[in-house]
This record gives sequence, structure tokens and C-alpha cells, in this order.
Amino acid sequence: MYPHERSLVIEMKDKPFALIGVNSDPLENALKAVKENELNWRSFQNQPEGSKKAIADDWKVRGWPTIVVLDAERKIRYRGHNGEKATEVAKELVEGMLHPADKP
Amino acid sequence: MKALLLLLPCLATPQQAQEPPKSEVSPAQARYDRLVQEASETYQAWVKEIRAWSKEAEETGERPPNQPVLDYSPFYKRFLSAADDFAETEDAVPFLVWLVKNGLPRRAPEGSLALERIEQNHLASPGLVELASMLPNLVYYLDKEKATQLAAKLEQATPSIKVKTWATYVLLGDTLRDEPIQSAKYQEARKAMMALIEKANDRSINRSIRDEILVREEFAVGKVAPDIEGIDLDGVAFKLSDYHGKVVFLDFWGDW
Repeated sequence: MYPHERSLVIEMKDKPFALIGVNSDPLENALKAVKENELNWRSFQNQPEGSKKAIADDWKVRGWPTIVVLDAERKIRYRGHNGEKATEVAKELVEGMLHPADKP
Repeated sequence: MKALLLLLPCLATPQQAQEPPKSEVSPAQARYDRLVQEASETYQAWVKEIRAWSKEAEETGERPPNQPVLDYSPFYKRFLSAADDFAETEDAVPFLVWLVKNGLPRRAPEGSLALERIEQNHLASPGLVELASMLPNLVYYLDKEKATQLAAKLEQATPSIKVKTWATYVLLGDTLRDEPIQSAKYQEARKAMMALIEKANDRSINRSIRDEILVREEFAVGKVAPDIEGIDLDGVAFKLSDYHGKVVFLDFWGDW
């Protein structure tokens, strides 16, 4: 997934789009992964040290990766495990915002 | 020496008589335990071999020839023959269950055969509880129609609430996943499913079936997602709502 996400971030750089991660690794592993793979997006720590609550539990995530695409109003537009499908949905939403007239 | 050895059993006899009777383990149970033990030894031996093989692959940078293969085929035959010896009795069930669990995912013909036997003779066996959580996977191994038919029969015949719950999930899963949440059809299926889930009160059922229902309802397309307040990997606090006005691709990820 890394190359796909990385290029998506670059492609959408100047558009109303953000790729936000929720990372479930121990912090040192997450930082290592970011460095080694030159990951270019910001991530929440799923469960920071000492915290009782995990974001993934609140969101009832049971499989990784899980992707949720949210529109500008934080309405859910996609939830699932298919990165390509999620990307398609996200791009369509962004296009719809940039070119509202084209909307059917 | 020989004479002494012959004597030993006689000497041991009075003591054995005082021990609790060994009849608690039936011949079928003893045979099952032995087979499972042997299968597990075979599995462990294979794990050792495959570890050595991967290590060699890692060290040399290429795949060595003769990747070790786990060969359960002798066990398929032996479990099936044991099931035949106890055919149509409850004692056959553990052998058949083992075959379904281990043989079916590996596409062994004995796995399908075992499932057929269960369908013919053992639908009401309490021993099938061991297969309960595997029922939704049957659609991958059988065709969907066959899996659904089996689930329908089980749902009727089983005395086990867990089996009934999983079987019902096989039957209602499509409705629960695909029908609009507001529709009468969905609501009816949900009601039936939730009643069973509550009665079963089982962790794995709660985590898979109940959560799937709740996730679909809480996180359905069109719902407003909850905000997230957290800290990033550098320890800086931020919120999901900071990105209001943008499309967000929220990616639950891990490096593994």
C-alpha cells in the first residue's frame, strides 16, 4: 500500500484532500516505518502510551488496513478494505468540489 | 530378566485396581486423542522444517529447492477410517469435525466427504459446536447454494445455540450486509439475528456478527463520522475536525 498512498498524497497535494493515518504499531516501529518508507502523511497514534482508549476500537475496526473516506462535512462516503475503491471515491468527491457544475 | 518382566504385571495389578477406573476415556476418545497428537507432531515437525527453510532462504537470498510441504494426507485417511468404525454414532463426530476443519480448507476430498456424513447423520450432534464459527467460511469451500442448504438444515436441527447463531448468520448475512437499513426486510433479519446473539452470549459471535451489524449501522455511508482527538507520531495533538472542508482518506494502517 505504501507506494499507492505516497503517490496519492503527492497527486492530491494542492487539492482539498488529506490522507490521515491511524497507526496501530508500537511508536518506535511506526517511526521506523515512516523513515524507511518515506511516508508522507500524518498519523494519529491509535493508542498512545498510557491511553486507555484506542481509536480503532471506537471506530470498530476489525481488519487492517481499513479505509474510511469522509467528505468535506465528515460524512462517510466509503468504508472498507479496498484501497483502490477508496481512492476512486475520494477522487470523485474532490473533483465534485472543484467542478461542482460537472455534477450530474 | 525375562521372568522378572513377566512378574511385573502381576505385581502391578492390585495397585491398579485401587486407581480410579479408566473407563472415563472411551475407545473412540482414546483413538481420537492419539490421532490428534500424531497430527500435531507432524505439524510441529513441519513448522521446524519450514523455519529452517525460510532461514536458509533469508541467508542465501534465494529460495532453496524442496520447500517443505505439510502432508496431512495419511491423517485424512486415518481420521476417515476411524469415523467409519464409529459410523452413525456420536463417537464419529469428533473425527468428522477434525476432517472438516483441517481437510476442507486444504481441499482434501475427505473433508467434503466428512461434511456430507455430518449432513446425513449428525446434524443434531452437540459436537458440531466446534465447527460453528467456521460455518460462514463454508461458502468458500462449497458452492453458495450448498452452504446455504446446510446452514438451513443445521439451524433447524441443532441443539447448540452457537451453531444456530452461526447458521442463521449464513442465512441472513446477505440481507444484513446489503439491504437498506431502513427496509422492513433488514429490520426483520436484524431482530432475529440480535435475539440469537444475545442468547448465545459468546465473545467471538459478538465480535464478528454483532459488530458487523453495529459497524454497518454506525458507520454506514451517509452518517457523520465521530471526531478524533489524538496525537500524531511526533506527539503533537491534533483533531480530525481540523480537516473540515477537505475530503479525508482515513487510513487505519500498521507496518506488518
